[in-house]
Amino acid sequence: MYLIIVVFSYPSIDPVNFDLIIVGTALSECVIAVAASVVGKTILHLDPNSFYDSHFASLSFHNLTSYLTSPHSLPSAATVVASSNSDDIVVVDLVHQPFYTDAETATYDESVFLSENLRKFNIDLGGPRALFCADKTIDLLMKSGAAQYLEFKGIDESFVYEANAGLVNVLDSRGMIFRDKKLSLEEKNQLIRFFKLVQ
Amino acid sequence: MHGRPRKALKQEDEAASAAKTEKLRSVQAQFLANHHNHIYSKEALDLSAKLLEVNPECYTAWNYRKLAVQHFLSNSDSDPHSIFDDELKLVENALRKNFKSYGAWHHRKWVLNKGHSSIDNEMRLLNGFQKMDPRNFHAWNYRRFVAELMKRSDEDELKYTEEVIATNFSNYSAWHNRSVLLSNLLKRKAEGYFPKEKVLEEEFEHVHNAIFTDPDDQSGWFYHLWLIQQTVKIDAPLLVSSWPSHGSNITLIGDNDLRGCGLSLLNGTLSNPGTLPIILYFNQAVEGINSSTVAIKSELLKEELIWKPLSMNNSNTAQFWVVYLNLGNFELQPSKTYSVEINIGHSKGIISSNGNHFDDPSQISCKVFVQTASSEPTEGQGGKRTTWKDTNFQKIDHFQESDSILPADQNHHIPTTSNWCTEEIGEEITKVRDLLSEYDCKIGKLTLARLLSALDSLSFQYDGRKSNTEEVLQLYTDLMKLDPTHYLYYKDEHSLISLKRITSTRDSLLPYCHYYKDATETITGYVCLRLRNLSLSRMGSIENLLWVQMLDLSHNELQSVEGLEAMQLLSCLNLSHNKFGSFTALEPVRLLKSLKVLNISYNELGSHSIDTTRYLCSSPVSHAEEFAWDRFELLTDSINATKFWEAFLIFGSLTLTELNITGNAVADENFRSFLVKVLPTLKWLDDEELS
Repeated sequence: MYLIIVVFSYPSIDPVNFDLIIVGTALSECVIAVAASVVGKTILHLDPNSFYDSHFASLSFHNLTSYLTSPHSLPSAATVVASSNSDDIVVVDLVHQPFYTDAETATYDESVFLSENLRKFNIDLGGPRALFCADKTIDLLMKSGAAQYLEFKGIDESFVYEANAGLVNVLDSRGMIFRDKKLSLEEKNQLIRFFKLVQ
Repeated sequence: MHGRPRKALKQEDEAASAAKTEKLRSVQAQFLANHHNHIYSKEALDLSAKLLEVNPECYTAWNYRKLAVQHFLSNSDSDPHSIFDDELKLVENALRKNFKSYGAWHHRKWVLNKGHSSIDNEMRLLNGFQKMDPRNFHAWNYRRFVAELMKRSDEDELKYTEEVIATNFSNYSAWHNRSVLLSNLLKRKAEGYFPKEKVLEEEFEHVHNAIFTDPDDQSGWFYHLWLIQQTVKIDAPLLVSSWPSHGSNITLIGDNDLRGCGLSLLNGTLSNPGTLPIILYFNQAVEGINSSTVAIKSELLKEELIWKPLSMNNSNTAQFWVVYLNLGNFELQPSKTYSVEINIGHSKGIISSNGNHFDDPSQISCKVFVQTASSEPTEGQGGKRTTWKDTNFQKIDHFQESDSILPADQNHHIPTTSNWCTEEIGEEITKVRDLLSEYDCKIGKLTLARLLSALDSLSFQYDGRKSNTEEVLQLYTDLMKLDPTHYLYYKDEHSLISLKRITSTRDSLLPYCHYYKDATETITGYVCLRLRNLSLSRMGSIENLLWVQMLDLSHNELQSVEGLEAMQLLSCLNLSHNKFGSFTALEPVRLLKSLKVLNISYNELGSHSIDTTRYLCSSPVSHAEEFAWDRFELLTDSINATKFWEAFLIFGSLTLTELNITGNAVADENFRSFLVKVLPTLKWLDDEELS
């Protein structure tokens, strides 16, 4: 059983007993919720915001401004403790690191373009994440089924910035080694042998 | 697909496959009925289209489509455009099923050749298929066809190969296409592709990236080999050797007694000469050798000369040519010297197979000396049996004459190689050595061996440059161990290099030359070249052996004697203890008119059920050679010996006096009887004297 409810008010909830109550809908909370659900626990998943929580939200334009300007406050664990009379509850505080220390917003006059197109854009606070193909996170995403809601894109090229040379291509394939004009022939041979060694 | 194991089908897959097969068989049966009855209705056409989309490999169906198209075109109401459009759509569908289908590509070419179809889409289609399978050589062949049709320039196509190779340089077809295009551009000296040297240097640099990036990928190496060949190749035919050599002296003996004759490698001695051969050895097959292109002036010349190509397949083109001066009608004066002057190529007309003209007029002068007849009486038996034991041979310590075996004037036949070729090959040697120091790979070693051999052939011994022979031999020896799959190839190359080394100078050849002593321990006139126990698997350097009259190649690993037909002076030949597996492997021997003694004992004649050299041999079946059927039938009348036709083909034109076939599986009484009939001149068979 796994329920996730975005709460705007406090309606009554049935059932009233849960193995786990989670506050907040960031990725870490969601992963915990899914993991507990998989092993058969009952979970109550709460969030005081009208959007997914914190660093991992993808916000519409309006939500972005309200997110940035509103005080960042979560119900503290003490509140939860105070609300409860039972000694069976174990309270765990998840620590979140804010991804910005200060934010300043400036509002420009809204144009017709913005009015018409605001709903077409979402802003991903966390940005895209780079994962290795063989990373354990991939296994987790596949097992939990979360991969169905994600899109993947391969990295086409990598660059190294050198002060005097600017962006320099990182050679990562046989074809690129073949085409490269800077490496000497011996260096090409050494590099391809390194590739074969680490494969 | 290569290297992928077959997997057993699962039960349900097997059932589905069986159902599919049954349906296909039904479609095919209907199609064949339509084809047989020349039915070209729409239903019949649709059926053939269905068959081809399932199985594009069905050539019969493609042929049926061609017949149907011709049928419709003969109808005056037909619209050629739509007919051919349908064909092109079908081809495209078939190629999506299997883009390696030759029949589909060929059909598309056939349709385009009719001239009714637009070629605008062909490049788009090609690019699509070549993206799916970049190495598909059918697509590359078709691309060359379309590029020509569109009059697309070689330069643009060359740029395309560059792009494809840049994407993945492991593309044999793209490299090959590049060599085809460059050949065209170099041939017509296109702007930007002249001189040849600049182009080849750039191409070498281009392919270096491939062979250094991944030396185990052989696609670049094949292109590299092509570049080497372009660098060292000599287009024009050249005379590399002749007999008599320029400046030589020929001694003619009036009788069979060779006692007391002067002997030398260069200055030949002929016994019982009814004819005097003149042999020309070119660097490639040529035609147009006749009495006007090769003019001979001599007092010995009394009649029109007929030059003959020494060719196995009755061709007018050959690498070796011979003419015989007939001395039988001429009364030779004792102690007189006759001069012979041969002028080659002063008239145009000598052309190589690829259309290049002989453009190096040269002259050969020699002297023919008639020896005074011996005062001793001629023996009545007409000669003794030849034996090949060590005791019959005496090493030659030195020669009296100061002449070199390869006269200095021989250099006249050597082309003036440009310095660029030598430098370029030298640079490639350095590059390959650099690579081998980084990474040891078989094909790198093979390329180094080839480059070193090429360098040796470009820069001869006369300029004092050290030979690379030892290193090349070591490389091939290493390769035999590293790459046992290709052992025989490396062994052949090793043999060729060994023979080149042995025959390269007088000093290197001397240890292998022996005087022949007959049974009475008397030194005869023969100098025998003994190349035995050298593990030779292939013959080479024949151009340096034209003078040889007695040759011992026994105790080697020869399976053939290619090129031996040029040795027109050869009188005694020992091929004992080799690996000749069939008579057809002896075909060059058939052209040796001077041959009297042949030893092929202890070979494998008759041991192999499959004759691997028969397809190379001209035969009655191939109609390439005149076969004396009448004589053959007469000889085999009393013996059921039709299986001996190969032996008849080889021996039928020889006049052997001695033949030894001991130790071969074929050597039974029937065969011996057959041989006695085929060779009426035979005096000794298997070391036994015939009555």
